[in-house]
Amino acid sequence: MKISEAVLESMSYIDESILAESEAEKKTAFSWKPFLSFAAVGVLVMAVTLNQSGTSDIAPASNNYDRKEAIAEEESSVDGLAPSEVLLDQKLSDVLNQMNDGDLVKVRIETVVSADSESLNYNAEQKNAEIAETDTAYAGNDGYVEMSKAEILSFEGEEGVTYIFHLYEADETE
Amino acid sequence: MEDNGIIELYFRRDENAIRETEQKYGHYCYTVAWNILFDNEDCQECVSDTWRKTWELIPPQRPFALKFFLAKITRGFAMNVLRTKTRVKRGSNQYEAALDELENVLTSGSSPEQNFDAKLLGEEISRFLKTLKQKERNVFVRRYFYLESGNVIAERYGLSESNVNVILNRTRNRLKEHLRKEGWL
Repeated sequence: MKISEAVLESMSYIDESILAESEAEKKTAFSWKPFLSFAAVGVLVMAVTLNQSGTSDIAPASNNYDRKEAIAEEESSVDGLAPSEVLLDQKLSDVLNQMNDGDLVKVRIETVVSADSESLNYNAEQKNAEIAETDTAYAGNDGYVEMSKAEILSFEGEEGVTYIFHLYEADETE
Repeated sequence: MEDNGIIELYFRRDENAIRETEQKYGHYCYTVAWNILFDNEDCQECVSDTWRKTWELIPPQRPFALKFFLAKITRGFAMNVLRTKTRVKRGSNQYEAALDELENVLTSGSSPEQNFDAKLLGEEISRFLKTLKQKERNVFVRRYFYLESGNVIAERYGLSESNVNVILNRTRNRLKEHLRKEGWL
């Protein structure tokens, strides 16, 4: 038997308390997170507007870090969490503002693992380099995933990981 | 009837225990089996076997929660049925999909087939699951115990399907690291 089959079979023996927990209804407790996410987008859009230099090119990922880290500090100071961070590129921010509920947009997602993150299995050299790479967990072979406005704004990722959402354009990966 | 009342019937060896159990959890156990087998006749057999096995196990066992005690028994029978089937008919699409997901992460091309003690491995997985955040743990359990699809899990917990897929992907990778560290891989 392969280990994958054994794992699937062995799930029959996990603790009943774990099963019981998974039956819990969806949490309805009040959370600041959605509001913070909306606030984050708002601040980003303002920052983009104020810093516009007349070009419509997508800003390089590294240029987004400062803005987002400032937002991260705001969030952390409010609820003490170290949430995953979501950056939106300029074109995507503009598109989101015009989207209706239910509309889908093609997004390419990059992840940036911060130097102190233990969340992912990158080696030390990679961590120190703060790599940015397309996150294949979110995308098909063609490198994008379709998401609604609500999904983007409520996106939750791994703690300590920054996600950079780009408006997907086929030629940008070529 | 409350679970404690049903369990007391078992302890008194009152056969109404089975009727009450079937009435309360028959549909639930059938669903657990259905997600794995996708075959009405096999599922009904699994559920019947569950009642028989429960009668044998209680007493002396006194379940922490009857519902999940039954779910584990039903799931165990359903997995046994799967093992006896040919590769042509291996069970539900969700079973195949879940197996593929695990295989992609846990099994390298040259991995030899081995004998694993399912109970010990289950205990190891329980320990691993307890290291996760509740949301990650719940999503993993709904996928790999109940074999629910990503969109069903997303709806249950108010997440997007892409978020569920990300959680599952990362949890599988963590499981691989955990099993490697503990000598299972």
